[in-house]
Formats: sequence, C-alpha cells, structure tokens
Amino acid sequence: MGIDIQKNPEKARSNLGYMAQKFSLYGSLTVKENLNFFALAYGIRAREARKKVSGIIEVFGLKEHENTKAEALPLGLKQRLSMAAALIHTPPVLFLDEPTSGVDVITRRDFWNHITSLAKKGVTILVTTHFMEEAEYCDRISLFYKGQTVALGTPAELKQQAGAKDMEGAFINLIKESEAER
Amino acid sequence: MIRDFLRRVWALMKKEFIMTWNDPKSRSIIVILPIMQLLIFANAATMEVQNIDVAVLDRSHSVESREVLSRFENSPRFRNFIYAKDDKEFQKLIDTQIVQMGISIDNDFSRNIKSGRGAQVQIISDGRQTNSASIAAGYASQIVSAYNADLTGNKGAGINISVRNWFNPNLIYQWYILTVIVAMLALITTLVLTALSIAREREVGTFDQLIVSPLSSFEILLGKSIPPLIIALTLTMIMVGVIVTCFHVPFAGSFFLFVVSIAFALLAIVGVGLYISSICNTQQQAILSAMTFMMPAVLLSGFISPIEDMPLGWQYLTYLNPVRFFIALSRGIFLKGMGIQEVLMNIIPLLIIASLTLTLAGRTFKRKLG
Repeated sequence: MGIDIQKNPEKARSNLGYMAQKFSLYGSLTVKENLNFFALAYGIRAREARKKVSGIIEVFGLKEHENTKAEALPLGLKQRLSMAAALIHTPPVLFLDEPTSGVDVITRRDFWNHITSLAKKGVTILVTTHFMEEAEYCDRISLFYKGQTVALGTPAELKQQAGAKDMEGAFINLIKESEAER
Repeated sequence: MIRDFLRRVWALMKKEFIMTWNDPKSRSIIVILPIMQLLIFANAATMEVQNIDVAVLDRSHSVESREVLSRFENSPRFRNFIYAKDDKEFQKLIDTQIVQMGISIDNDFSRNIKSGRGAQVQIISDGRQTNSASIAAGYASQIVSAYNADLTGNKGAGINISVRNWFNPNLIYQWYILTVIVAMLALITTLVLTALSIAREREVGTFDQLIVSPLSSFEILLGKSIPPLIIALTLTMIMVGVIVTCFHVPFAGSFFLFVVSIAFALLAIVGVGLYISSICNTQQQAILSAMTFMMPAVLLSGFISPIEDMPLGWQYLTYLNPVRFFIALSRGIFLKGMGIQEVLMNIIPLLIIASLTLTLAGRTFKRKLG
C-alpha cells in the first residue's frame, strides 16, 4: 500500500481491520451505534456510513438485533458483530486474533465461510488460531512455538515436512523436532 | 484532511455522549449528584450558628440580671433557655451537650452595677466545637455590650462601630455556600466523568479497538475532553439558574465572563481527570485516585478556610490547585462582579494547568499504547 506506518500511523491504520480475541466493542451501545461509530472513526462520510452499516448488518445477519445493546448479545453474535466492525471500512488487510475461540461449531463454520469469501475478494487476512483443523483452511501457515517461527509454508508443505497425514500430526511432529533441536 | 479530522472527533464525541447517558454510574453522577449537592449544601451544611440552647444560672435574681437575660431571650440566635438551680446542674447541662452555651450571673451583679464598680456576666461556651463556640460567644458579647451602652447612657463621646458588609450585605450564609457549590459540583462531575472515561475503556478492552483505529491520540484526547466539558458547563448553567431564581442570590458580574472562566476552569479539571484516567487500569483505581486528588484540592482551595490564613508554604502550594482559581472565579464573578483584569489573573494559571495536564494525559496514553 506504500504507507510508512512510522511516518503516518493514522493513515496506515485506516487500512487495517482488527478483531480482538476478547470482545472489545462498546457494550452499552447498540449493534447499530457500534458499527456507526467505527464507520465514522474510520473516516467514512456520514451518509455513506449509514448505507454501509445497514449493508453489513444484512450480510452478518444482525438485522433483528440491530437495536440490541452489544453486551446483551450471545457470544456467537458478539463475535459476528466484532468481525462486522472490523470490516466496516472494507480494509485490504484484516487481523483476526483467535476469532473462533469459545464459539460453537456452527458459528465457527459460518465464520470461515466469511473469511474465505473475503480472501477470494482479495483481502489479506491474518488469523491466529490454535485449532489445527482451522489452520488447514489457510493458504500459508506460520507455526509459532515459544515466540519463534518453527515452520512456514502451505498446509501441504508443512504436512510433507513433518511427514504427517493431517495438520494435527504435523503440528505435533514439528514441535517435537524443534524441541529436539534446542 | 481537516474534515476527516472533524468527522473522527465528532464520531468519538457522539459515542461518548451516548455512553455517558447509557451508563448508570455516569448518569447518576450527572442527575442525582447535582440535586443532592444543592439540597445538602443549601440547607444542611450551614456554618451559621443558630438555635443555640442556653443554660442559665442566675444567682442575682435582680432587675438587672432579668434585663440581660431577656435580651438574650429576644435574640433569634438563641432558642431554649434552661434555668439551672445550682452549679452542679449548670455544669451537667453543658457536659451532656444539652446546651451549647452557659450564662452565669453572680449574686453581686446588681449591687456592682448600682455602685458603678463594673459587673460581670460569665459566658461559658463549648470548646469541643471551636467554631460554633466562638460565634456563639460573639453573639453573647454583642448583646451584653449593647446592654452596657444603654446602662452608661452614652456618657461622653463614645465610638460607634458601623459595620457594612459588602457583596453580601446581610451575610446570608447561603449566598456564600451556593456560589461555591457551583464550582464544587462542576469539579466533582467533571473529575469523575473524565477519570472514568479512559480507565473504563481500558478495563473492558475497548481501548485496544480505539488504538487500532485511525484516531490519533490528539483526536482521542479531544473527543474525550469535549463531552464532559459540555455536560459540566450545562449543569453549571442550570445550577446558576436555580440559585438565582430559587434562592434569590443576585448575580453581580458579567454572565459572559462567568461562562468563559468556568469553561477554562473546567478544562483544567478535565486535564487532571484525563491524566488520572490515563494512568489507571481500572475504574476502581480511577475513582480512588480522583478522590485522592479531590480531598486536598478542596481543602486547599479556600472553600473551607481562607487561603490567606494558611501557612506561607501551603499558600504557595495552592497555586498548583485548579480548584483554588475556580472558586475564586465563581464566587468573585457571581457575588462581586469581578473585573476582567482580575478574571484574567485567575484564568492564566488555569490555562497553564490545563495545557500541562492535557499534554501529560496525551503522552501517558500514547506511551501506554506501547
């Protein structure tokens, strides 16, 4: 994108979407108010913001909850709202910090549908997770152990490197290898 | 560029307003606190001494002693008179705090007056309450000296003192206290609202979300300062309205100057509140720190005791205290009609305090972002 984050952090940040692991939207604001705030905070014009907010509410199926206070939502919907808020300004880069921790299976699948469809549209997405079957969906995996990259590559490459059938096995083997090297 | 800036700040301000109103804690600070303060300060917290109960030990039982006592009885300051039979009963009345003052007249009272030797009335006041004691004793000596003047019948050229109280001619205590609580109320509201604001976001984790947004720390500071400023300023205006209409305290100064100086005073306090908030991680810490600031700030403001009465070192210390200038301005403009020069002398230190604390607040939360 060609923006120096050191020189112009505000501009650079407006190209990022970030969803925290812990729910970190305003509990006392409604779904709509939350999205509206983030839309405006990311510099979207008021009229356009209104359109975007109702659009994203539609996409994430939050229509019937739009006037519910965020704190009153069940966890799954909270996660959806967080993601909606992170995406409100259609950022080219999206950071998801364990987006699916503590979420039921259906919501999780839902989530990954969203993530993959976004990736197809050309959004760069960085997901952290400790579910290995989820990692499988990614194009490129960096395996972290004790704060260091242990392995880097596509899921297929990692599995091959570790000589395992699935990611779970690859993960265990690779960790063991790095332990032995120390 | 500037429009983006305004849009972001506006978004934050709007959010702050909604959140302040939605949060039961903040809402009660805005609604209940002012009403309570007004009622308590206007009615209960009076330093005026009235309704004094008196124990009387009259051993003289003469026309003269009756005359003195009836003057006491006719004074509105004193309420009940309990006549003691003897020393023991007299002392017991004072010991048990049934009365706040004792008047003791000896049996040679009448004789001494008639012979022109000079008689004595003994006033015993309750030193456990220093302030009321000295005020009650003051009333008593006024009454006695009035009687004295009547007795001697203006022989020779005596000096009469004529006292005129400027700015509050009848020394109505409510005038004094009400013009100060305007400042007190604004102080507490602003301080608590701002102290909570960043700490709350940090506690629930929403601050992270703000930090990754394009809002710069200056914009966050602005968006966080203006709403409490507007809320407190509105509250102050409502208070002034109530004080002028319901309590009939005359507004002597320029209203424009008043609004301007209150705004500056509030800005300084917003600065202090946001600084406190920026160093605290939880709301509990923030509230405690705000209280820790408030106690000495109020005591060193000239509200409880005049600054001129403090030891010199402490007097210098009050120059760091925004509340001191705040009270001087609010009382000065309200009752005295303080002129622009004097107002400026109080606004300049407030501006310095505001810019210092706001810069510190901005720096601290920028650093805390890592």
